[in-house]
Amino acid sequence: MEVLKLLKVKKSFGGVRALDNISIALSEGEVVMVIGPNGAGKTTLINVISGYLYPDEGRIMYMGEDITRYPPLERVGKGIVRSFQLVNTFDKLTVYENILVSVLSRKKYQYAFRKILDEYTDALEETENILKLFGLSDEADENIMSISYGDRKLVDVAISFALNPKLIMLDEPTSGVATKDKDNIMEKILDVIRKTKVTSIIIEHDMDIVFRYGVRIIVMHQGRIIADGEVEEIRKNEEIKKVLLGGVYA
Amino acid sequence: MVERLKRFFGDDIKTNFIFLTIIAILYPIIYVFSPGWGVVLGHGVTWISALLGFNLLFGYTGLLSFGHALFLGVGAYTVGFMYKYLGINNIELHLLGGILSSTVVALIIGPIVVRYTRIFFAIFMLAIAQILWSLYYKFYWVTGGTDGIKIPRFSILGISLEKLDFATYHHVYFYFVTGLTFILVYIMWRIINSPFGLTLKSIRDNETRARFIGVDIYRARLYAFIISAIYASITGVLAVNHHRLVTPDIAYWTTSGKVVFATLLGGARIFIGPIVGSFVFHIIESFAMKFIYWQMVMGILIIAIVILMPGGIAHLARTLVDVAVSHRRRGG
Repeated sequence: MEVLKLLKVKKSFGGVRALDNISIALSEGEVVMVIGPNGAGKTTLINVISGYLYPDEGRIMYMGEDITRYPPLERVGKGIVRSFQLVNTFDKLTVYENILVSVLSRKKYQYAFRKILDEYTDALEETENILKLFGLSDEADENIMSISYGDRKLVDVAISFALNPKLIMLDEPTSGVATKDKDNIMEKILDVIRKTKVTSIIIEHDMDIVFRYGVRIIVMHQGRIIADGEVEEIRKNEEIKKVLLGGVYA
Repeated sequence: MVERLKRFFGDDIKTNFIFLTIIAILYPIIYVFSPGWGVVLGHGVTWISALLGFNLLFGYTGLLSFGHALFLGVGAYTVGFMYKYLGINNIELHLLGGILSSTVVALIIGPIVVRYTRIFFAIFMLAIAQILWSLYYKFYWVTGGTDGIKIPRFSILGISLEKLDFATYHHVYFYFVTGLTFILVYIMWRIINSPFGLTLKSIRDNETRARFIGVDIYRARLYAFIISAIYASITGVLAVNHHRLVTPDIAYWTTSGKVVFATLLGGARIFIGPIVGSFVFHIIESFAMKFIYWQMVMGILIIAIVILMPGGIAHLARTLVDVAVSHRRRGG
């Protein structure tokens, strides 16, 4: 079954075409990595799917439903969840609370005030399980700002997973992380994706990471999709390599 | 399961109740030695509600209100009008009236103001508060202007306190308010420690992310705003019953300043902060008033607090307790 389908989506900022006639289809459980040089429109793609921005033209279908004009809150309710390029956590809370607040929100307890947190054992247990899944149990009681940047990235992703998404979009989950930790974090995230079988879109800037972990890869350049296929196909294509190398490393 | 929801010194309900109990025990002793200081404690316990309400917005939701006098005024004038036009002097009915009228006012202005944050929210609140103040001030045929509305001693459950001597009357007032404060503290503590409380903190820390985990931030802020308004109005109701006079002063911006100052003094973001702050503020104020330029003394004090202990008294106390505990552990 198709989880997500973009039909000729366009989005411009002034004269710049951030998304130019984008059409993508994602089936259930599929993991797609999106790569492209700076300004290719990768983040705009996520913004449009998550409702942060509305497209100028085109339609976005989710589970067979037209969600093009749905506000973000409604999309979250339907299981469309995103993370941000820069770490976006709740900075005065502990690691545990960061994830708990997300679990509570999914369970529709976000406005509940008749009982104190201690009584929501189901949510507490679930939070504990998510911590375990991401290997964050030891740091649970730490303030989020006192753990390493890489682990904060993981907490950021864990907050998204706590919402039990049907479609998750991760915007450069390894950006800003020290090179030696990148693999570690990507492996953990992919491990969780495999276990939960959630349909995923992962934006990645780092070619090595994409070719190492990618299955299906979408290459974007100047607002357009210039390639969409298996990792081997993309790797062999010299044209694409030139764009990526030119854009990323020049 | 591992215990994750640890509450540190001042955030647990026990410390709060112990602190209030100590005040309740000390009160008669202090009153015997100096009735004046007994009355100061009366002020202290009266203002806790408003400070708790203010701190729900400031310390836990991240909204700094420079106009909380608005709701104290609503509570105060509800009492004034209830007596002036209906002859009601039952404090239970006053409280009920204050809660109802502040809820109505919060429902009218809340949906608009909660869409603003930071300085915009602060100034918006200040402006609305000043508008209401000017109404109390100008419509003297209704409000009595600066002369205000005189009200008699209140009655509790229909029992009049008119015939009591001042000391006994004040004792009744003090313990009635203390009893009520125990309840208000407990309710507020449960709210802050509920899922809703955690949601508010998440909005405080990161509005955008809160929205993307499925929180309607305006809705959550509106709820917090209404609760905050009710708590502030309760202090308004109590304070005018303490003074037995309703004047526009309680709705003036200096009252809002007092709420902000006393909360910072005690320590925002620690639950006990506003409770401690309320007493310490009134004690300092009474000392300072002995000077001619007492406002200046208070001003210097604010600067000193901001520089020397930005976390307030509660934060300082927590640090000291932490040091003491770790010392004892090391000592064996």
